Amino acid sequence: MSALLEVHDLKKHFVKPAPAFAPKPIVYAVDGVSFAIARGETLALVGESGCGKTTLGRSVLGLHGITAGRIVWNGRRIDHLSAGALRPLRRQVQAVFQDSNRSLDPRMTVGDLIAEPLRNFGLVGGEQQTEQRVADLLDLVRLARTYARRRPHQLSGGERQRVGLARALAPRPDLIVCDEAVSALDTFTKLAIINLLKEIQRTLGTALLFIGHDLAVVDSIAHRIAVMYLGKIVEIGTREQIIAAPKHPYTAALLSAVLAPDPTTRGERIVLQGELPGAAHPPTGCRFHTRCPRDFARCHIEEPRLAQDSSDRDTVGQQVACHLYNGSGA
Amino acid sequence: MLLEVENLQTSFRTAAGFLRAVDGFSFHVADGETVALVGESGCGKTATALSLLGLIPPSQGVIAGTVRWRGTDLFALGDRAMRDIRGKEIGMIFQDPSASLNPVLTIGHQIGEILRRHQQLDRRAATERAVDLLDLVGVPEPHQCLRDYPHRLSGGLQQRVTLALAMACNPKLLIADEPTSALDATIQAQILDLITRLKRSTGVAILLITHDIGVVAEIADRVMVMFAGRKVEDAPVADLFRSPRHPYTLALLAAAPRLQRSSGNESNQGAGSPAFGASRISASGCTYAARCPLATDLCRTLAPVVETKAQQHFVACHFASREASAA
Repeated sequence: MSALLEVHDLKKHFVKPAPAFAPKPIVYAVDGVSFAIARGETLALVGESGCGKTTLGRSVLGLHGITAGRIVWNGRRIDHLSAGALRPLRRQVQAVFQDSNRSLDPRMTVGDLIAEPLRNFGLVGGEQQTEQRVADLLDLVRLARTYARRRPHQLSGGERQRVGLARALAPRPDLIVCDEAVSALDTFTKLAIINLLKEIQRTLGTALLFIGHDLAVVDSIAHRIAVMYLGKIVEIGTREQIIAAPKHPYTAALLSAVLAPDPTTRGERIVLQGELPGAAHPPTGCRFHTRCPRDFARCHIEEPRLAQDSSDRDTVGQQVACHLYNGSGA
Repeated sequence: MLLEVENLQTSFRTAAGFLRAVDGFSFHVADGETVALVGESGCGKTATALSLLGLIPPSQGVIAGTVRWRGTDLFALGDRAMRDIRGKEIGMIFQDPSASLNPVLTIGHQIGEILRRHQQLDRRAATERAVDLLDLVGVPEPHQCLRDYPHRLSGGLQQRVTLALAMACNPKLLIADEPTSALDATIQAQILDLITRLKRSTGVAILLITHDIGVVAEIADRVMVMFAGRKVEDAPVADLFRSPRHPYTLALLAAAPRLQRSSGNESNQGAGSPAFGASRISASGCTYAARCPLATDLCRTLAPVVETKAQQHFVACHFASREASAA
């Protein structure tokens, strides 16, 4: 399985503004993350707000430079490329964001919104060809062709998200970064968009980096899942491994926080105390130890590394950064 | 009975004429009861809450029906008398805590304002009570928090503060409109835990408005399912999940995201329902008919009334009993 995208030890730090002469704190938004995405695969990134998943997505999109690490696209390193050199690659990596209100220009018609990337990358010849391609894309996302004449405010949230998706699909990308793309939608619309994404992936073979915070949603679309906490991946594995046999206590807590539509399971959950600490001052040792229900002395001092649990041979591909499993730090 | 709502109708003024958001909705909330009002975006859940609180100005909408609060007709009260009830006897929290808090006033100021207005406490007593309240809702450093401005707090902490504001005057009823929808799952679990504890310790009744079936399953005693401004089903929580009767409720439960602990995520969840369309304009017939797999000519011409299908279980559907026997 050759990787479409490889990310090696990626770091993205921000310098926080501070009053003059005061030291400017550094925010370790993404602090050493590695993963790969194969062609046609969906990797989900999950974690609480502030864990760095959006920053990671934006790094992959090349929306900002990175502090350290490497990003390899189709075998070629791209993180140090200039804007001009990156431009042809931007066609291959597209994005859908959470707030369709803000990501669609309110003054443009749906037709122009979808045609913009086509014209931008010079993918269409004349107007007739553009119109045809826009119509095809509207078909693909299950919107009536008459929608081409509408403007974003005339659409519902779910319809706007379909337009966002059509726009992302227009230049036939190999990877789409979906940053909380369904989080703001209600139950039926969410399900419809997820089914659409899965179908598009099946027919077009597009890979997805699906960023979300709801494990029940992620469970319905991902092939593999990476769990992030304060700028690090704490566990990564296939969907089955993460959902059915999580190893990291944080993964277990996240799963336990998913509310089942079943009143008989009421209250049977691990409620994590406190909130995500600030990424400017991450805790020493394991970053999760301040909220971990199973922490012990070593966790406060030594940072665990992401590794396979060496006592469990059945978990090929599942890696966890936790001292409870002797695979780490050894 | 704490709250009784009869035939509530709310129409908003829009450029295209009146839009009926709430269409003859009747319900009640008993002392200490947690009632969930569930439905998709735009079904009229929030409009219901705003209507009964008198928070829809006449310039925006027209409201009809009766709302009785502990026997008093709320719509007959003047603005001033209404303000004595709102915020004192009925507390409110909304989805976006940052929009409910004034960004230029400290938390202490905002809690103090309520206590001075409704409970005539002096400054010192108000501060003491504010500290107690913040402690009650699990704010880690209450004294520090009093001096903080809202932007200093995380979303979870802000929601705890709005809960403290809502609970400040020991209300009899808390109206919570999507209280956890904007929060992370872990923080949502904390806030639901907190609401459950507050419910036990204070006996407050809750009208919970949400689109999340998981939240309903977690804290409701009774559930009302709303579609296009009308109540389609009303049942105790265990009943509703065990034997849902209305086709819309069935669809809602089937669409709820859930973890598939077994292998394969080619989910058996039904395809999304067709988009919300012109159905709500039609005056006659069942509003759900356009999306309902069971709809017949009867449904398209005659609106079903809310009927008792089992003990405490009310459904508005011509075919609800048939559905139940099939299940």
